[in-house]
Amino acid sequence: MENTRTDSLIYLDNNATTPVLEEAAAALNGALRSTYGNPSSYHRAGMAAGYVIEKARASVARLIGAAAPEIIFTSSGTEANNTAIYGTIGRIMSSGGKSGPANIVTTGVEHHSVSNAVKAVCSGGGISVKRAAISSECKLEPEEFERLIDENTVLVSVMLANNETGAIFPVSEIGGICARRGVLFHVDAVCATGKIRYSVKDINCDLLSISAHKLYGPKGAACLYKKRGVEITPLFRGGHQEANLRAGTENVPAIAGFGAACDYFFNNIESSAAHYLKLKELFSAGIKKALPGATLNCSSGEALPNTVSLTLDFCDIHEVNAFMFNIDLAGVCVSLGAACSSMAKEPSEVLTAMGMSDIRAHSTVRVSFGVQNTEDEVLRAIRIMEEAYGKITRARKLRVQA
Amino acid sequence: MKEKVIIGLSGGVDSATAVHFLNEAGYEVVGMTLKMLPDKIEAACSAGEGFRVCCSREAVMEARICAMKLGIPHYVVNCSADFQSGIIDYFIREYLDGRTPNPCVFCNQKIKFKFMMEYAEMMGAKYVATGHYADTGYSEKYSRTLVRKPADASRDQSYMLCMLPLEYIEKILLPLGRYTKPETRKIAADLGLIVANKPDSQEICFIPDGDYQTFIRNSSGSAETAMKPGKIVDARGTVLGKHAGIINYTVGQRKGLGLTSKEPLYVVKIDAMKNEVVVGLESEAKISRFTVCGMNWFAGAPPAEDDEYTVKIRYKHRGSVARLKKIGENDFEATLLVPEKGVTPGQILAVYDGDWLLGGAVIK
Repeated sequence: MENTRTDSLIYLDNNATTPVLEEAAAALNGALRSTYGNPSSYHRAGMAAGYVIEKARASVARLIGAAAPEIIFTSSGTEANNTAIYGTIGRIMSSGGKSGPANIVTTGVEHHSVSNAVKAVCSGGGISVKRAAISSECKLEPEEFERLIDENTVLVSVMLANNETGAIFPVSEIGGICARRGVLFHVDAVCATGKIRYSVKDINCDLLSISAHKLYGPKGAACLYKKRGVEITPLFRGGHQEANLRAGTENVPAIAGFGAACDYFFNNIESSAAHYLKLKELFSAGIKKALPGATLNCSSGEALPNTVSLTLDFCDIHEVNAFMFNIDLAGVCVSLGAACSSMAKEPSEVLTAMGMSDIRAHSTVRVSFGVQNTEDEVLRAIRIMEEAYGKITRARKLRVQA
Repeated sequence: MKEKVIIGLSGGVDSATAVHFLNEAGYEVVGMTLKMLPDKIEAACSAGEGFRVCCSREAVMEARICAMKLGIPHYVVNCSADFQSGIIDYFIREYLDGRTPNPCVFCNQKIKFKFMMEYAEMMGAKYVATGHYADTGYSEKYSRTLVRKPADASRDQSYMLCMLPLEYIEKILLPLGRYTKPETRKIAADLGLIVANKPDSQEICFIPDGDYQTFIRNSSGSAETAMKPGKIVDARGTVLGKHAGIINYTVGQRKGLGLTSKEPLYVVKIDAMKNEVVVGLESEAKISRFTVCGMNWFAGAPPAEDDEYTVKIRYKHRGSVARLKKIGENDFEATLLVPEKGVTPGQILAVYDGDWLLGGAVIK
């Protein structure tokens, strides 16, 4: 009776997480079965496990144009972001490299693992935060950073692409400004990696976060790119793993899967992106016809090829919920806002930061396509969403009559 | 095509086991947990040791585990703002006005069934189910579907449903109506449900320690008259003692008055305007005639003056015989054939004909 099967679902929530690629699953399984050694051990079992990790490190580095030693494996994107923020601030504060007030410059639409870490770092006093504004068209102006960065700025943190709207931010321009002003620059690339090709050299960043499960690798592996020469303190105290920057025995199987996923996208990112874009255009055109009251957000500027942010004209949060339940019961998986905050009472901070009203933000659905999705799935999803929407509006009419 | 049912899952054994009966009966079952407690209250409740909070994070997880185990989807809906304004605020206001509220009856009417009915409408579900110990059936006498008492008389929760809107009655399924609590627990254990031995929930979900006085004091501030000491008087106005604030008293109460008297004294009235607690002898505390308002009638033609009904004047009341006389649009004068203590303003009068639940009204 227990039912955890997902094979009949139309999974259109690939910004939340992705199914695991065959190649990644094979690498993971191989490491799980064969290279069970502890990479820190001197013997051949340890050596074998260490080799798996170093191969994966090279694969990750190659995908983003980094050198292998610049990759620090972590357990999650959240850990990578926290390491970037606490690690730099901890380093600056402990080395006495900064006296007097300090500030961090970021945006109002970062993932919670950045925004809450920044909030926590600033709660102790002595450090404040400044946030660059996002326009209602999802645009972030680099000049804003020119203005916000001052002599007390110790860190700038900006996401490469927004997970809720798909908007791509001008990180290369911001990176240039940071380099010129001598400020550390962290980029949260968790959502963008595997969807667009970029290089840490072009971005000109000091730190950059990636998570395996957003690019068809397993959960439990992620990394922080740290440019050679940048100094940070570790989050955890313990062993010497990851060049003393991430204590704890490495998750060898997940890291192996991560490396395989990076290899796949190194070779296939352009063709994958073309596939996403075809599905996105098919969906966008179809949904506008099926749901005339729907608005596509951030559709004008530069955006991820796989993400659609769709605001529906619902009257209250319960209509939104019922719509989500209806499409889920029919087998379509999408998100309200970001996956991490689904079914939350408060509307998405990201969408309200862009100037959206609470009910419009609540009524915003994120559809994100993946390598496994087909045109047929997209067409079926449109039909299912149309039917679900019809049920809500019919019930509303009955309610109004009563 | 299977009929769709939305079932409210509290995270307890009753609603989880009810899912199984609906599955067996061939419905397409969709689980739903309404998160009703405002975050602040939930945090306060969860901090207390041994408190079981109905829609806490833990309870939601237990509901989820049971739903997945039984092969049904499970959704969580937040209606804490409505619960605060419709139930908690009402509860506090009633006490401040010297009345004794019943939040569960009104939660069923205004929150629990209301939200699930709305979701059922929007999701194309024909029925809404809960794990209440009550039954429904077709009454030949009244030519309609009515709620009735369940097989397990010791668990009878039909009283809690007496203020439901009439149009809900045909749309509710109460799968536990034919089972006793021990049977439910046994079946839950046989199904391997983790909640099979979970203790029963508290009477008032938002006050798990039962200390409603402290709850009201913390919620509304001690400036309210109802918190302030005042006089205890008899019917003639003679001062017999001091009370500690009217929220601490309930009509019918005998213990804890701090009065010495040859014969036992009971609270017969709480006068919020004068901040007085009126006490009297048993003969004064027993009344037969009282007014009920807002009659919610399920059974077609309104109650006739000469008909005798069984009424419950509070949830755990054993039931007494009464007549009902219409005195206003939805107001009635109830006459108990045998006078009783504890006819308490704010409580609900539920009206039965045998096992059939015919309606309910608020005691004035």
